[in-house]
Amino acid sequence: MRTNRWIAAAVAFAAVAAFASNEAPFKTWTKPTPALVLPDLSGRTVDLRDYRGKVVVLNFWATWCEPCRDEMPSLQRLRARMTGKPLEVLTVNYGEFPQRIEPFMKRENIELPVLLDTQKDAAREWNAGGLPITFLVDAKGSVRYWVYGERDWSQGEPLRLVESLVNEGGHARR
Amino acid sequence: MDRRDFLRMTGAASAGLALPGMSSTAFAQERAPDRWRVFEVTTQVEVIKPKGATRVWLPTPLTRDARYEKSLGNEWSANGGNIGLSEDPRFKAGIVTASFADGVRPELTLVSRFATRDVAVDFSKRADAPAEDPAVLRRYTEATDLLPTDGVVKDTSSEIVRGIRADDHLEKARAIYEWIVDNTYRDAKTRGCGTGDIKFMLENHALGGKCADLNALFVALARAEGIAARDVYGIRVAKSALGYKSLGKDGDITKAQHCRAEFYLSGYGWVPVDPADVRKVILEEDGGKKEDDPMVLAARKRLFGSWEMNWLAYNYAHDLSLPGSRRGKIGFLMYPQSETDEGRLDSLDPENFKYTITSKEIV
Repeated sequence: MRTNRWIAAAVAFAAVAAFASNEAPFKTWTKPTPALVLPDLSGRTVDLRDYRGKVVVLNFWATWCEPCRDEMPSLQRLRARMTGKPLEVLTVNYGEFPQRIEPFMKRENIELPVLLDTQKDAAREWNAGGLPITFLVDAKGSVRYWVYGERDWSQGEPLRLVESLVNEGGHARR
Repeated sequence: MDRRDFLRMTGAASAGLALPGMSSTAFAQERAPDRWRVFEVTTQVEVIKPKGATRVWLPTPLTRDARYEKSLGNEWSANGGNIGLSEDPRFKAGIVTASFADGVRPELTLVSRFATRDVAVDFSKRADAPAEDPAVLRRYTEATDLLPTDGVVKDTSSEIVRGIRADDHLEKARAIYEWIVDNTYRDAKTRGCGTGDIKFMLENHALGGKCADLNALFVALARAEGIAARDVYGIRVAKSALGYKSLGKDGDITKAQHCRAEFYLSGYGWVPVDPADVRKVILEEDGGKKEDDPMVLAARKRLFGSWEMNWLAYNYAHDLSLPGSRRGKIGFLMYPQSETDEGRLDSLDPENFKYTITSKEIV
């Protein structure tokens, strides 16, 4: 309970700080968590439910989206920083095909998991009406917070929010 | 349509003066010059790396003449494919559909000829325009997948029109137009013309976008107030004769798609508006202009009630099912569309779905 109040306070603080800085604030997700079952770049089918036990930072992006490109290195830094902890960063590419994504990833030295939403069906399910948009999924598999717009995930409030979810008590699946 | 019909209709238009069925006194109250211009727009499409069978869809000019546009025919060819013209039953959008078998390189060409003339509404004089079909007005007052008329949309529209008499559609529409000019902005980073997800825009205070966002916002807010309104999806076909470099394009118009909007006003018919283009002038004219610049003020005044017709209107369609598509509906049809066995292609990815659109003025 104390942890949940702390997280709520952190979200509220982030909202005020974001307002002051013109960034959209983190928002609490109030709907059921949509399903997410998509292929990755290797063709393997990935199901968000398989990540229960870990916090998932789920980021929707596209190669043509400048703020998405700006944000990706920070997602990589977050992932590196949280090595050994029950966290994964999954990215969902909006509407593009591997022949466009793969050269981009190589050129930009991005090594994050990429799920393919070529037909934008997942984006519709998740109400991803703008890019980038990021959802924070707790270790029980429920979306807790989401934010529209780019963030530096390796520091400040975004990092603290992610760490607070990790510290809530998920444990890695064996 | 075979080539002979196409040429006959073009010949009639080239005579230039009065097109069949169009009386020059029909809208005597309009200030716009009664001069028709004739254009030819050619769309050439190539799917670079098709996977399996391919389908391509292209919009045509309006299938029903408007006071500002008349279609003079379409001509098409598909290299090794089947191609034909259809009309969606709800919005009467003209759609050229081509299908190609696996192993055939999808290439097609559509040539459309049409005439346009500037349109302006003089609100100081009642025009006695023929009444619109009530069924049509109902259609353009309804919500769509991307244009809800309740929730945050209605909350916003109610606030905008507060204090205006409920049946004063002119002043309500004007208030909504002014609100969009004052509260939104053209975002150069928006891809293409935008997506028109106005609920997302309002809920997230993300009021930047391009024409398919900002003019869709006008339409949704107007519909929320019971005013029939519609997006008009199209493409720029000539430079502006009014001195606005940012509001025209000729020659290669591949990236010149532009969406406008109309609202219905009893006695005046469909009234043209374009708040998105006011924001375009502010952002792009001569590197950007302040909101009180005379060019901006002039555009702001002109674009409530008139359109310079250096632009082709394709259709008014929302939530459109493409004939023969295996995928869901599209929000609107303003760009060429294509699907292969791999799924729907990205209309803004020229490396995989290549097309060029060119315009020339004939008369």
